Amino acid sequence: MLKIDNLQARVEDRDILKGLSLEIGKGEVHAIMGPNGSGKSTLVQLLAGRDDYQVTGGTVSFMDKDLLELDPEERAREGLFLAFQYPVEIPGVNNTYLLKASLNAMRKHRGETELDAVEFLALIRDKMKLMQMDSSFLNRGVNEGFSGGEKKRNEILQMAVLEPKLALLDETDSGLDIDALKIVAAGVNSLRDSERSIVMVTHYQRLLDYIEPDFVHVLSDGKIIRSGDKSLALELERRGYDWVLKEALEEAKA
Amino acid sequence: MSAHPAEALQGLRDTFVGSAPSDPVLRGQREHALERFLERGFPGTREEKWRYTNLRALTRRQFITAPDGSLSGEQLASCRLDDLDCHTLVFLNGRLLTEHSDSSLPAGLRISSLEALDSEDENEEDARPAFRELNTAFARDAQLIEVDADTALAKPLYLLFISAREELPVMVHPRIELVAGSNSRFSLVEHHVSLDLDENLVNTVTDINLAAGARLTHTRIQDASNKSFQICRVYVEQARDSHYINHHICLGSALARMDIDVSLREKGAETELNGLMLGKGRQHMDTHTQVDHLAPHTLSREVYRCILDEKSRGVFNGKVVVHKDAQKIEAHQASNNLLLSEHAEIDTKPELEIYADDVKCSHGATVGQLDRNAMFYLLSRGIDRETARGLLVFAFADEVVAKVAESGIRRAMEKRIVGRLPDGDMLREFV
Repeated sequence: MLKIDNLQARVEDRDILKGLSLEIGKGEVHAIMGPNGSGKSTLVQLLAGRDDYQVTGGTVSFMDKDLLELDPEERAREGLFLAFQYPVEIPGVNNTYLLKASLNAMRKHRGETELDAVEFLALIRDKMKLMQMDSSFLNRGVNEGFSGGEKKRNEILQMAVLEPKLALLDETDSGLDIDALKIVAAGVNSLRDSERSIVMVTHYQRLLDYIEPDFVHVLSDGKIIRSGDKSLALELERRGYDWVLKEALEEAKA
Repeated sequence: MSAHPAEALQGLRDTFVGSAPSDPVLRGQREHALERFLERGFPGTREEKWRYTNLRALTRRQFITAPDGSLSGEQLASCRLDDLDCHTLVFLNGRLLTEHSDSSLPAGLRISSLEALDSEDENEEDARPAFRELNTAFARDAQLIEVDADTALAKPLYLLFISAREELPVMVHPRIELVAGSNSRFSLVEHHVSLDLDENLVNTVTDINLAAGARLTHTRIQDASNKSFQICRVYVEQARDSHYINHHICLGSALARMDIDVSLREKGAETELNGLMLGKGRQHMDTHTQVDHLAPHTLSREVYRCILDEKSRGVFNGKVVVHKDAQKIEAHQASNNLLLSEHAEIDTKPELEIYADDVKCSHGATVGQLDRNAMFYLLSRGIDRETARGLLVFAFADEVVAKVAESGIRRAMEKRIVGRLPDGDMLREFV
């Protein structure tokens, strides 16, 4: 699905990613953890096509295409989805119309017929039930006046409607209370299947109690320094990051 | 010292001879106004209020007064706002077209033609009401609109001003006087359009007088030819507890200048001014507002937005004068501007003169580009770049339009804005 090889990137004069390699297979759920400033958000935003980052080396292939050659809108249409850490408020642009246009852009790209308003409404009502969102969301501006939790739910609603091949969740758990977290997790879990891959970026193991990853990676100083299964997350929760960082440093010396 | 050739002014005198009313008293008033205008001519950029707006392109031109014309049903349909449930008056190049206008009006609303015109400017500080004088000299079919006390009119009065091309550019001087009785509720919609790409001068004067407790919503949609000159001057006098709301969108013209002067004369008077200027090409758009707080416990709120693309230029000057003894007033002003090109330019300036000591005043101005985060968000949802850009521009504009309470008018405004945006067709399904 996604193959990142020795990826290096910088913002202005600062190197952020320093040779990151990661492979995500079809249907897999990966969690990327790491201390603040390690490059987690940079990684997922860069993958989605944000142009604030300059790639200085390495390659990324997505479904056997060179991902870095594609514009952000093309990446989305190819089936890559980023759930934002801070979803943007766009008053004046209707939430429903945006989502309909978004879905139809992707359907068009895949050579499928576009949904009309009636078909789309039926679809979105169904998904809104899943995310426990009431119908007032339909008529509001994109994320306009939404609480932090509502914004995150709206991101997962979009994911549910767009059905991406690869979903990148950027700190989707931050700012959520436990009830909202459960709803978001249920939404994500309902979208797990053998064809869809998910990458979660998070600080906390808490999210992983609700969305169980197949793999856990620790990102530090622009590189993945350790990978394991979900038990690694539990260990990080118990012991913090210092021991992994120390071990990685020793390995590097050796 | 004037900034225009003498021949243009001589041309005005000749035009006047052919157009003035025959009644000697009325003719005298108009002649007086013309002479006052000719004495000093059009304002030049050395005058503070015209510093950023050069009228050279306008003053170089010869304008004639329009001959009487008529309008086909099809032409009318292409101009008027659809889906608006209203009473309608239609003007072609300044002439009232009775055949296209409503003859019966609801009880409490009276419209009559206004013969005697006053060219005196209420605002003593403005010694140069040049365009008002010009309007007084040449106005035809001026209308007096009266709303009776305690009348709440359900439907808006829609004034459609259509401008059409003649062999030479024409000058049109619409003139409206509106008197709203105490505790009346009324909505006035002014809509200025062109039949084709005319180079006309449209110089509007609107005098508004609100009695105690009257409430008026005044919407103005200027969607005229991009080669035209659009000058408009609105004077508002407000009595106790009256409420004036002005929504103005400026879309067309080569050069547009709006002056809105509001006098809050008695306690409890409130005024809200909302405006949008949307410029591209080499369009020049200028809004000057002046609010005089003459009594305590008065309130003014202004929100102006300007979106400029290509080489267009915008000017906003918001003056607030808090007079002596006008205590406990509130005056708030925001000027938010979006520059879509490095060649576009905005000059924005608040001007506060405060002679009372217990007042709440605020003002703020911002100038920015499209929000990169919002852009990336839309792109990441598969929306193409042109549509994303258009959506964000529309969203910025819509914050002004969203303040319009009547949904029919709001929709009409949104449609006209979308029609002016590049790739507007793609945006239609979003609004």
